[in-house]
Amino acid sequence: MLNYLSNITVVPNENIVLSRLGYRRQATILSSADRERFDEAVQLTKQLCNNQAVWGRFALQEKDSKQILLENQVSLVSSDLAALLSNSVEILLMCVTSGADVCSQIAKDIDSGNAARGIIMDAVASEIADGILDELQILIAKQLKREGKKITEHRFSPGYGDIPLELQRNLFDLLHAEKLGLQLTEQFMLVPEKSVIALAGIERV
Amino acid sequence: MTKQEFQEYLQQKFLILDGASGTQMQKFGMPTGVCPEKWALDNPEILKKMHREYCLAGADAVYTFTFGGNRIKLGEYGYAEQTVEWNRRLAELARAAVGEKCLVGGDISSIGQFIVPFGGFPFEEAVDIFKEQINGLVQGGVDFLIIETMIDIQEARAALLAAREVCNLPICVSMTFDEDGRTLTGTNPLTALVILQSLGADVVGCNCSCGPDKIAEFIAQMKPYATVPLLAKPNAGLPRLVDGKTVFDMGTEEFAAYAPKLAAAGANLLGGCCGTTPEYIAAVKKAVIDLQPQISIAQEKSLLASSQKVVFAGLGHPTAIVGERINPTGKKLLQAELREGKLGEVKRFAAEQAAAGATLLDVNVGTSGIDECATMLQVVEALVTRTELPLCLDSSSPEVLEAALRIYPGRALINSISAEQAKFEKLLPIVAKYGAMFVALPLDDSGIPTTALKRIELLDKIVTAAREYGYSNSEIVVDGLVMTVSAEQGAARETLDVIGWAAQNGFNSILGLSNISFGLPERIWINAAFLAMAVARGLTMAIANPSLDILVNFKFAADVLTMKDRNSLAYIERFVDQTATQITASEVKTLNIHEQISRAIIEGQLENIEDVLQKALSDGENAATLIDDDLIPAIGRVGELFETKRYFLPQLIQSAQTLQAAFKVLEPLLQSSGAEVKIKEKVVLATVKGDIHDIGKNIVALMLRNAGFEVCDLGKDVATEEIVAEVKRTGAKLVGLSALMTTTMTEMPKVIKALNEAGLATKVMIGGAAVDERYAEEIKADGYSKNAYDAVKLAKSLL
Repeated sequence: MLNYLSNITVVPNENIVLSRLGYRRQATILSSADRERFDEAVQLTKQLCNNQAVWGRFALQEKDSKQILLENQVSLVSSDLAALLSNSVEILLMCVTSGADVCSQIAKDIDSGNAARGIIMDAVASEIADGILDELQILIAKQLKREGKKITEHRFSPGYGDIPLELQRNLFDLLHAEKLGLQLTEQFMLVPEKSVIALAGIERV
Repeated sequence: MTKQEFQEYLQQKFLILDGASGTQMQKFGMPTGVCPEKWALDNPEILKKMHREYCLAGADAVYTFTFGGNRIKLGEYGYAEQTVEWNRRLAELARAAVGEKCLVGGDISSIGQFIVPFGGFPFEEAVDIFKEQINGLVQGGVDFLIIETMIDIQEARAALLAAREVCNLPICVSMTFDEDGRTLTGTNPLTALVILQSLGADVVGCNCSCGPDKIAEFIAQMKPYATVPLLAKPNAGLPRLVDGKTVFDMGTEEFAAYAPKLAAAGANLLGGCCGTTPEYIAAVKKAVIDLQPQISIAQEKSLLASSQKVVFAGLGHPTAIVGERINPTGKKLLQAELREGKLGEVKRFAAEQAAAGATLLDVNVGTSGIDECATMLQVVEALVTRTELPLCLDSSSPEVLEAALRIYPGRALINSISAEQAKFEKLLPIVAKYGAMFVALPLDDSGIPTTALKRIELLDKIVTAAREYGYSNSEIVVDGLVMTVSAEQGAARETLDVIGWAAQNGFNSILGLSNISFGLPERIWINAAFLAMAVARGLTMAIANPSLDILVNFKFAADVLTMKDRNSLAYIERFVDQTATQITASEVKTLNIHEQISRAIIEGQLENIEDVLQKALSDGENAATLIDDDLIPAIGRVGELFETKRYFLPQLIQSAQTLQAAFKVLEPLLQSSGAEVKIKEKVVLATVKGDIHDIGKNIVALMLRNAGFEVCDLGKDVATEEIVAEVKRTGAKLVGLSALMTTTMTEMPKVIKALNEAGLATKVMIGGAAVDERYAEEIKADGYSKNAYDAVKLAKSLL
């Protein structure tokens, strides 16, 4: 069964956003005007993000050191993934998005003379999309705790390690990510851009 | 058992609840992985034994074995259609086990889905699912209902409403908080209490997740504001894993030693959750046998709540600002957005007002051409997780207010109930059902009385009726009704007299300020003075735009002078930061015009640059000289700052855009003055085919333009042929390609090959997250740059 969550509040980690943008603690100096512009961009991003998630737990049909077979006969060929899931009893698939509004505002800013705000918003929105996954995992972990289960320490996305990007398609379909208003391009990119598909294992404690 | 009998019982003694049931059943042979409800029905003697043991241990109430007895959970095993029957039978078995010695509580828990607005599961569907289960439990003869282990306040609300709409039995609601004192969807104990007791729970409490020490803290946080008895059913300490099995670390004696502490914190119903057995319950019973439960007498009832926090809005607290901006009257953009179902303006107003210090947000969506009810729901749902501020629901339609109250996971303020007969009779029962606070508006079918005395008569009528529904004065907000002083100068005094009367009688009060000054010049002063006077008379809330500094500053000052702002803390916090920024503004004036231009570029003062340049030009400065002597050195300095990491990327770009704005002012002057215009080098930029990411490429375009290149930007997802054609058309000597993905970077060598085959002697530079120096060499590109700044340097070196 798929679970949906909307309106997820994510507080972006400011230090990570700053460092994505090239801020270095000992060197970079922000004037109060810079700081104000930064804060305003962060604020606006938070307002425009429409955070949503869908996730599902899937049984592991078969696994060996090279591939994983899910229910619905979806096969995940990747030894990195097989290693991640070596102790897992189930697989957790997740898809999150910050929505289209924030992406169109970023594009608009960059095209219309407000590129500084645009790139800050871009970094913040990326951080928020990651943050949704973090929040989601915390929430699922709390539910799993009652079953004596936990989530693997790491999560992967298609394109990481030897996990083929093409898997985006299978995972997208399993999660019915179109219900979050998402699309997948022929090159397996998620639209709107600030969206992520990820997977992790579920292990017994 | 009636609600009345239940309350009387709880005022006299502790109600001892049972302990864990699932683990007991497993001990008696229930395997893991089966449907617990089904197994219990197949093994009725074991189930009865489990209940009976708790009864014999001294429990005054046992829970039916129906934790997962809802259609969704039973449906996971294929038994959805048995829901009503099984709940009835499991309730009957509990009764048969304990007879009349124990009360039987019909147990209800989560359906395992997140409900709108936190999740995607429709609210009314959840209500119906709970109603179905509750029907079975009621048929089975339970004495009360217990909604327990709830991790989401909205789901708890759905179950509570379902229970109230099905039967008149007492209803207990017990939430599960993590160690950090929040439910999964972020509600803390006090907030849960305020929401649930106002929505009609007869008992509120917490169970599971934490041991008794934490649960005692949560109960202590609730007790001062509780109007209902409190329930505590902690785990036997914290779970640990031993040989693959979960065990709880707290023994019987230690657990029972906490019972008096829970009682002292204010719990009236005591039991155990995970890890507890009949021995634990017997020990708890013994531990409190000589103690008297504390009756819940709320110190304050004037409490409003969002799903995240409680706002103390009563007398003696700082005057609350009810942000008035989310109201389409006179706001064209907001009206248009609401008609299109868009929420950009709503979100902006919410964030702005919160940042400016609003205490509550008024939400009014009444405008022509919309379905007010649907729009109100859409706005409320969006605001629930976007603001921590409780909402003031503002509509003249009882239907709209009821729909919003039903789904709002908080305790709202309703604006408003007047003494107009038809509205008043319809609205008051609705508002009371959902336990909202409300604004009482002293006007009736014959209009607004001019005198305070007459208004108070109407207020009396509303208040008397509200008391029938259990309202206390402090849960009612009296509207003083502001009339225009330019029409009737005595109007202000009448309004203030109503405010004074409200304060003397323990009511909250509210004013929509701005009407007072209608028709007068410089209205802000009248509004501010009136606000201060009203605060002095006991005003507790003002409807205003929190961004109006003068008005809000008066409020902060008035709160200090009336001792509502204890130790002036809020006042000090508001003003302590404001001195620092004013100094830098005065510094700027001492700089000469060249320094000002240079500074505008270096600091990226996009909003100032045009003014500064115009001033320089009107002082007789020459455009070409300004560019060569001020702008170019300044942007060079910005580059140095970026290279030494003194600046981060947004500062570099802010300066680049400021420079672009400066060129826009100066370049036309260069041309008209006939100065020699340099021919610009052309660069073709594109994100390759299949790739839709173009932010990085757009930043490169911006930087190249600033550095004097003519950029032909083809956009994203650009076919190879198109790039070749553009190079032919423009004669560009440089092409910049971008790709973000490993799957799309493979387009890059295809472009290089096609350019070579077309015989074009253009150079190619590449960039993007997927590529690096090594890849550039591999595909025989002429260069790679890791960011937009380096791209400019690379472009210059290649040409």
